[in-house]
Amino acid sequence: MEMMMESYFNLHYYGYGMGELGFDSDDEDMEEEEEKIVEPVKEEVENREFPFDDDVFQYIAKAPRARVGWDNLPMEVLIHVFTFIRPSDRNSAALTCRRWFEALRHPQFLNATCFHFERIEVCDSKSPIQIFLDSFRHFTNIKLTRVQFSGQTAFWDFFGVYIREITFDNCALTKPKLCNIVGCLPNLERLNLIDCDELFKSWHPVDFQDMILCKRLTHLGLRKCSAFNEEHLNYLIAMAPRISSLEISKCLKELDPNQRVQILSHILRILKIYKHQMKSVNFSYTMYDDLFLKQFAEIESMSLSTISLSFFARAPIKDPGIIDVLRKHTNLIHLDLTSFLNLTDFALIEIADSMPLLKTLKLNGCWLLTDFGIGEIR
Amino acid sequence: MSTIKLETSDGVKFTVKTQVAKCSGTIRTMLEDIGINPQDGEAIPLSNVHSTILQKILVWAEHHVDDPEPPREDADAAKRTDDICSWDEDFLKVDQRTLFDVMLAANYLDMKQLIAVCCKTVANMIKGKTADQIRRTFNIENDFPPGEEDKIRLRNQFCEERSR
Repeated sequence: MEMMMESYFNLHYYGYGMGELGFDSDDEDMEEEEEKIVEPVKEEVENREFPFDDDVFQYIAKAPRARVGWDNLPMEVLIHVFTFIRPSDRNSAALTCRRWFEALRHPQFLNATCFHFERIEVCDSKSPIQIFLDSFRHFTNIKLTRVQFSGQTAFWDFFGVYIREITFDNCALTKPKLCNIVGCLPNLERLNLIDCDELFKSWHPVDFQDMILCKRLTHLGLRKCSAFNEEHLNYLIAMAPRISSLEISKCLKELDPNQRVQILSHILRILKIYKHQMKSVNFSYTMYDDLFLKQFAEIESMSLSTISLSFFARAPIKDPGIIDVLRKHTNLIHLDLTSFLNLTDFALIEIADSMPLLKTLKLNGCWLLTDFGIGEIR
Repeated sequence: MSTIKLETSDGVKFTVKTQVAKCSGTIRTMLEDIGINPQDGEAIPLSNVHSTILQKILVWAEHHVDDPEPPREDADAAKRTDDICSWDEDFLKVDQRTLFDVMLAANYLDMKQLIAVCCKTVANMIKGKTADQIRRTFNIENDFPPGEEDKIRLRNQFCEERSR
């Protein structure tokens, strides 16, 4: 027993000197270090310039505090420290030494940051893509704003496998380009298209022959888009057989009412088809109407955990559709009704009575609410 | 009141209330799961903890022995560092070497609350500093290959907090 404890601790104490530098190493190591501890340590010990080579354990047992320094904090403790600081501080801390930099590769921190490229050209020979190509830190979340895709690039081939979320904001995107990029992202979970009307305008006709399947894609977000039609929606949804989260926010402006109603009823059709797997919908600031809400509430056996319906000005005071929605979806965890004008205390009572799981409720700018309704929410 | 004996790396034996010792997950596991029987008077060896550090840790455990289990936190929730109680704050007003050793020992002894407080303390020492200042604060040697640090810095310009 004594031996076991001792070597366990010493390995913890010394084992994580220098992580491998290749970006393809397995992040699981960090989480499962207790089981895997023996293997990586051997390698690392060899890499390090310890004053001893042969009998590491014995040496440590004799002088257990030979090497002490903050750069040598056990990795799990270092990661714990990093969870308490903001990403900007974390980046500074990670610049101090290689080991601290290693800690940044924990999935938790990778997922908490987003790499945002703005007004650049995605081309291997140009900065910043050039300096990213030799990085051994990989990126799970990428946002591209006003980016040009002109030159040749190996960026997607190199990093595509790590990318879980990608956002295109106002990019000069065409459908072949989108398919090209998404095709390099086998692990993509969230795809967001913001202000991408150029894509939809140039995407004609919609051909399903060359469709790319994103097996892990669960979230599709369209924001500030108005030019998409039913076929575009069909294509994007068909790309994601496992879709569970649909965002269509700030969309459908500058459309004539007929077209808008067509798209809205098509969205409802899609929701009906995917009702069993849908968990989250977001129609914030999109021009929907009360009839849409009523029909949305009529979809059977759909159990959502997140609904965002920000800004809705035209709810009728009498028998509004939102009440039907609230009655239907009693398993909600997050509900965002920011600026939902005409929301009454009656709706709050409904929320308070029927949603035991609710964790967040946003009600900013709901002018009709009174202290009475708020008092119902505890 | 039942007690057990603990023996530190430098051979000092401590007699500790079992309840206090069980603040350590490691010792708790040894007693409850592995079934080490402390009744026969044999001390549990803690061969990686020095007596000065164990003494300090026992003071902490004694003070926090009746604390309720902390609520399970959301992994995504923003974590606070300004909620260290004043007793702990005073407790950790020690030189860096001691803080470091307490952290290592708490980690080894699996004392989650103590680790958390230590980590928060260190986090507070990091906050708002540049890499150079952090290096000076903790006396860390810059071991990046030449040029690498600048490259990381350049890449970090594109790094932002995720907004969700």
